[in-house]
Amino acid sequence: MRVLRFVVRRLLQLIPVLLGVVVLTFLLVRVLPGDPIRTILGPNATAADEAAAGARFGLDRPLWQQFTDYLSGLVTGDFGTSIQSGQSVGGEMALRIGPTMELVVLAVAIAMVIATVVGLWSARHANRAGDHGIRVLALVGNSMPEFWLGLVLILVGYAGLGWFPAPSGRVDPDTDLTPITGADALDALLTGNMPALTSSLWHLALPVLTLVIVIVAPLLRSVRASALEVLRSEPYAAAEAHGLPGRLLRRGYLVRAALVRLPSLAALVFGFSIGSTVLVEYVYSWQGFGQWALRGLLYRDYPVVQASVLVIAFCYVVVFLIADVVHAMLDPRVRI
Amino acid sequence: MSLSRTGRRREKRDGRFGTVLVVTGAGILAVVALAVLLGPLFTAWGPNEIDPSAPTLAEPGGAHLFGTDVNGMDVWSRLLYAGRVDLGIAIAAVAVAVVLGSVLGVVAGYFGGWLDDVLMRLTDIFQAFPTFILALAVAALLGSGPVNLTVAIALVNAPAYARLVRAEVRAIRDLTYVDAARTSGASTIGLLWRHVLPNSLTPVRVIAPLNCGWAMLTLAGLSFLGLGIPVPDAEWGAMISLGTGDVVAGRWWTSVPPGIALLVCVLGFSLLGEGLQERADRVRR
Amino acid sequence: MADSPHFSRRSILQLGGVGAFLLATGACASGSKNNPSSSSSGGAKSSTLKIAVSSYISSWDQDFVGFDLTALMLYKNVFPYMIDYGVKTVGGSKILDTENIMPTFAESFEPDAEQKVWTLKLRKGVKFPSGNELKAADVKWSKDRAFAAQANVAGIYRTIGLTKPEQVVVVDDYTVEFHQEFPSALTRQIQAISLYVFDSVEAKKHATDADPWAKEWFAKNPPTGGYFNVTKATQGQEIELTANDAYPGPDPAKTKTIRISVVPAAANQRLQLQAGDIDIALGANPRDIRDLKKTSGVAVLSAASNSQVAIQMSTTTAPFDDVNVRKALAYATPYEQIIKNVYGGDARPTKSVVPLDMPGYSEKGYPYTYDIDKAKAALAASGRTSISSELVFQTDNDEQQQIAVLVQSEARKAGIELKLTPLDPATLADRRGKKNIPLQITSGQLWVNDVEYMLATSFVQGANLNYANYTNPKIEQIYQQSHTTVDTSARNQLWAQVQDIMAEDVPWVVICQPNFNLPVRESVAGWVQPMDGLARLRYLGTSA
Repeated sequence: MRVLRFVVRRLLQLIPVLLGVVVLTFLLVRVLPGDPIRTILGPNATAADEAAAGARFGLDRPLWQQFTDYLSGLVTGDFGTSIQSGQSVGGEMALRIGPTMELVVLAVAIAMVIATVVGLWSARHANRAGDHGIRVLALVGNSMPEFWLGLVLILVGYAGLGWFPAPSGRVDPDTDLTPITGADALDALLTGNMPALTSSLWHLALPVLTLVIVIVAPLLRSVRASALEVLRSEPYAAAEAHGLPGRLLRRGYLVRAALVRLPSLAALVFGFSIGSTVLVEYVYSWQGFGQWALRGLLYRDYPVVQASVLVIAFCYVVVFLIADVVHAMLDPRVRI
Repeated sequence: MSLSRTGRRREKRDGRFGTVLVVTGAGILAVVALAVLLGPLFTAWGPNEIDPSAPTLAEPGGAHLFGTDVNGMDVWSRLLYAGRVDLGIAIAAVAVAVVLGSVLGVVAGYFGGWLDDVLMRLTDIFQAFPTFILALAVAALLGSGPVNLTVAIALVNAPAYARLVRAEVRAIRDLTYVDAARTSGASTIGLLWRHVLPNSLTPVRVIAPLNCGWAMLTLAGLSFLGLGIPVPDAEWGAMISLGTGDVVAGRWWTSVPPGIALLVCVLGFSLLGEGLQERADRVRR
Repeated sequence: MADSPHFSRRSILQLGGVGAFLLATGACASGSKNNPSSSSSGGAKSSTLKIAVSSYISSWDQDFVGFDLTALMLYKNVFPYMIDYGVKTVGGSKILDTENIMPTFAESFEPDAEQKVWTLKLRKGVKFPSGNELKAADVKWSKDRAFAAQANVAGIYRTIGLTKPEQVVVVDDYTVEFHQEFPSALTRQIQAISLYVFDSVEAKKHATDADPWAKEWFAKNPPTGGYFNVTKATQGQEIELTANDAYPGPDPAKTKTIRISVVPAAANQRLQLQAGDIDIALGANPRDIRDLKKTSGVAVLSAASNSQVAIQMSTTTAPFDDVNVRKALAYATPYEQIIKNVYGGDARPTKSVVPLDMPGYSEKGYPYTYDIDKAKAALAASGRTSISSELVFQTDNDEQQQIAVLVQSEARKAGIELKLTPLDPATLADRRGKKNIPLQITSGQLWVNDVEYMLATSFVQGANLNYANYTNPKIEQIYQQSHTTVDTSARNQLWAQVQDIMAEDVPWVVICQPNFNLPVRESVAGWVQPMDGLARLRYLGTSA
């Protein structure tokens, strides 16, 4: 019950944080040097044209009014109109969140599986060569700049071996996939389009591999550490001494206990990945959320920047809430 | 502690791995630091100096250990000079973040109440902000350049330290020795400085090296996207970005070495951090 | 017992599952896709052309849109344009002939005797894919919309004396008249850019009171009725164009289907071209092109181009407000080294501010060569031995970056210390608006191949591309005169005067004119070099 109260209190505190983010972004992006309107005008535009374009996006109104307009739009789910494309920001974002989610969800899921299997094995063979090797290998993967890794994988996997498709596009257009969520593999499943499914999975292989290599280390460390704690605990030693068969021991004691901290860590990793997929997307031309947000930033497309920051911040905040709650539940020293 | 002899032997062996990691990590970093601090004194070219006698994108060999890049500058010299920038900014940024975060964490954790709430919500806001956008914003406002990038990266990392330290402070503020110091008349500042702060820094000591590695990767990523150290200045991420188009053509020497340099440095930090964590876990057990 | 070294069944299944999934996708996919090392392309139809571009289209609305060269190229091919340039052969390759304008969707476009009233006659029975017929009302609605948008078209219409919608008059269902305030030699070329027509009947169905020009609908829905129709345009995926069978004029599109994919990284475009995944790479950079010339299966189409690379010097900001300082930089720029290092020799040195292939070009327009001694002398003539300033260029632009580095390195020898400042598009636009950039690298091609247009956009006071803030009353006078001078030889005399003045005032460091290079698969044929930089896709075909 205390936990529930804690969660509700934190959820309520989430609102001022997000509001703070909205205000900060709103001001920050307007304070930055750079003019979004001039980037959409041709070379023959005059000052009057510029003023007209500015008025079209409400940029001639006083700042506080722009903010209240934006806020009232947000409440109804309207993220504004992109200056660069003239389309609704919410619509553009919906198209681009799917591909990024697809990438991150798959990568985190696969990384969790690998971390679990390898981490448990590593813990059971703790401090022998295999364990050391695995830990160092994971660290090496975690230390690589992901954009560089992406380049190397493209070089080896596409240009070298030819096993993987070219780093552009997420699915072969010949398969005629109808986009529903934007996540192509999911859409293919939903529409029962088998060629599209294999094509999109194949295109997903390299980018997902890049992300997995980079994020598996912290997950592995967590599983291994938790598993080690269990392995060295008295109940486990007692059960082992009593002669319980290995498989039962592992399933009953080890696996569940070792996985207890994994979800919160995975949530953290997930949250961070959302904010940094832009590098992987750039290298693979994934046309996802990160690339869209970056382009908006470079062109000072105010509504786009505001929307993308808000979404990323929302992800972060929710993720930290989860992590905090789990931590508070586990660490007896902390009183809620 | 294990009761059997094999168990005790195993634990001794366990302990050594942590030390091995720490030593290896520190060793790697020491070698890199030496290379980037002293190396540039021995190279023939400056970081932005064009060698008029060599063609651009010359292959490694001869006077140019790693060849030249697209502007005709020596890759090896730039690699060393860039190391100064990367290491310098990463370490400085984390140092600033630790200081800033610790102060905030101690204040929030010790005094609690509304101050705690406000400070934590403020750090939440900063922590919720996407790194790249915050870094770009700071760089754009203050002007790009190493100092401003350090500030930007520090701002992004400080919240994590604030939360860590705050958690530790909250756990120990009601412990006996703190109580004792308080009742024996220690001033609040003295109390915080001498008793609370040092004991709250344990997780920081372990996280900071790992954080240095992460800060370096952030800097490289920003520069790769064109938001950090501007091309053509020497910085490993910027060097990778400069050579991206060439890797595909088989001209690996412009992008691959800086990536390996980054990998080695960050690995050094990671090994150090992992080793410290290992040893800390040993002590706790 | 407990520490058995083998995996439990479940973990094997888990690990094996991951491995199997990777293998399965690889196997299935390799079955459904050709081996990239073979030379055939992966498309099912041989009459499909695959083109890669560097940036995605921000919007389909040509009037209210962002100024985006890729989008403009697409518009040229999917909107019905009433008139366009003809084709001529120069030195074995085909180029667009800016002096010969032909009607395409329209039947004719002719002036009256005074050349102030131009009459556009439409063909009868030309239909949009919606079934509506293309009539004069559509033309009028489209041009009213352009005036209302106050964007590109309205801007260039000003140069030929069209400023109000009332000047566009519907005479009957198939005839529209354009009443210009003054006769202009630029009309045909300006109208070739501006005479695109929307399906107004269809558009009006989607217009609302708040949105009378159907901006929302146009932004999302690609136009139709041009040489090509847009059949697929999902953001983030390929854009598919299909030849429009309803095209009434001569020279219909040669390829049935064109697929356009967005590949921002030039290196990826090169990889895909080599593997045959795309047929044309519209975003390759010079180094990749040099490598591709040696690749089998790939041909590089080259043509001389009027694209100019220059450094515009701000004539109102110190220290470049002093003409001697400008001359010093002009002497300090390493022209040959830039052509060699940055363009691999594939650029033409130029001797005038006027592009090489523009009528009226004279070699006396820019008498500056790379000479550090003369640079030092010029600097001394301004009373200084050293100055420092800032050289601005576009971030993400490899060529400009390399040029900047070379210029910085050489200018230093003459006593000019330059700080390199790459800027993102928004900041660049902002500073250009504030006119506080002392030096900036510009590269681009004028849409109209005429010196009057060049003056209008780049050298008269307040002109939008006049980043140098250059003004000269004599130039203004010549410009005014050129509006009403229609005779070619008289115009050329004016242009000679312009170039003499420019040689003295030197507001720009004119670096070179890089040749146009397009890497394509060998099976692609029919390329016509566009003088305005916008590719006409209808001439392309693949013989695969």
